[in-house]
Amino acid sequence: MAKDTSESAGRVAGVAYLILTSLADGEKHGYALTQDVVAFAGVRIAPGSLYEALARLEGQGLIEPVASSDRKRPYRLTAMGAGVLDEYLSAQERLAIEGRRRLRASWRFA
Amino acid sequence: MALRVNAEHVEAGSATTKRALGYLRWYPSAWRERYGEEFVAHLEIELAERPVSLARSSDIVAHGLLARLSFQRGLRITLGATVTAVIATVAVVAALSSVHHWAPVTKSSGYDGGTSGVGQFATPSQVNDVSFNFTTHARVAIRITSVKVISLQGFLAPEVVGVDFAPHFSELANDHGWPIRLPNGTTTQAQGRTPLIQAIGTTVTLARTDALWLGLRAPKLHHAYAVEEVRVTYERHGVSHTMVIDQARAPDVICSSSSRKEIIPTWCSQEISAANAIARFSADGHRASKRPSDEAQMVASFALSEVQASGHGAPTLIAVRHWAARFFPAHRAGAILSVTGVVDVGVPEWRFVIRDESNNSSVVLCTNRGLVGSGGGMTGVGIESCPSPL
Repeated sequence: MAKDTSESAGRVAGVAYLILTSLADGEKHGYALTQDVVAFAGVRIAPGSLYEALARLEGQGLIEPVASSDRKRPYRLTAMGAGVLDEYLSAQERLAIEGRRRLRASWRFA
Repeated sequence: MALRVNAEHVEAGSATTKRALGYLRWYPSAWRERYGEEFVAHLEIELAERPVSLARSSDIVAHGLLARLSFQRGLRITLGATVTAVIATVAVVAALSSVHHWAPVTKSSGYDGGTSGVGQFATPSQVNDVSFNFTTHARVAIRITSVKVISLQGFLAPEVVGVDFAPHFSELANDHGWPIRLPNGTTTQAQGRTPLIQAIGTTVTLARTDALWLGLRAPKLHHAYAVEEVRVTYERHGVSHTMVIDQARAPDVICSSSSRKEIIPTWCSQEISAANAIARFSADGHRASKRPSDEAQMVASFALSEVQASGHGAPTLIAVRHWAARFFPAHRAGAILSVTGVVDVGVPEWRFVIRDESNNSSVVLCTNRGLVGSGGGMTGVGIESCPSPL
């Protein structure tokens, strides 16, 4: 059977930050969140990985559930979660800038 | 909100809902209480979109078992003088369909009420307990005469080493009870809290929340045991009945391992995935869209997942034959009558001869060259018509 590489990638590529990024523009329930992550990152988060990460993030106070009458409970970013995501993205930006600079200098990448 | 898996819910639900509930049972009760409803709602959509995904099944099973480990690490019992046993609990909900007859409707998730459990693997000296939780509309007096466990195709059947009736199951579970009566000299954390009744041959009156517990043992080391069906024979008003508890869509799997570490061995994870896949395949066996290539695809996938777990290479013909003989033996419907190699070098291809039940003939199908990863190993395989001889 063909291996679903997108699901494997989701497990090792920082599911937590994919979730935080998805929730950065508003609350979403689990399925909408996975669809959003597929759209912006090309990664499909498998259900077990998703809910393990949601539980962990909720426990860390980085996201919180939103009251809903629907079975599909939405989640939203907390202020702490927004701060953690911002810090992570800043570090990634610094890494990207430095990596680009070194590639241009040594490998003639534009 | 707590998720209650009851008869009405399941009867009203679709096949997708039932499958989603089957997946949910891998998680501990505390987890299900918190995430069960939204998890099932999520799975219903996923299963409708992509009915089959081995990666998804493996992901859910692995995280469910990990969740159990994280929720419960404390309980140990001593079985005999030397063995520290770890108990896995799986609960099966049964319902009274009428005042005069009771029968199971579906399983609830395992790990009910906070009882111990580390997933479905055990050393040969350990006893796993399985409960059947009766939800009745009225009190029913029965006398159980026998309990028989039927194995899933390709797996061993665990030994039934004890059958007990447990009044007030929920109270027992909340006490972290160990319901199976143990040999003299053994101890449990909850010993003596709830009186147990030896079920075989004893007339008991079932009421809501009562349960029947089976002690199951997996005595053969490094083998997987999977339960497809439990048959409980009982007498009521002098008439014998058999209650069949169908576990075909989500079989209980026990791996017999020498390790007492709370880690599921890789081979066991593969066996659990295989059991779920073959159970679903069997349950869908009569669907109109079923084709002989489904058997070949499944066997090729099992062989492929075996080498993928080790990280490299391509399956051998011996391995493919092993999986074919195990799950589609000659005496069963959809039998794979033979498997031969088509190409000796490079990426292997296999030729399957499969009995086609629809027209009582044989079909010959071949694997294609599949997908090859950057390391040279196979990452996928498909089934197609065999190439014409040169």
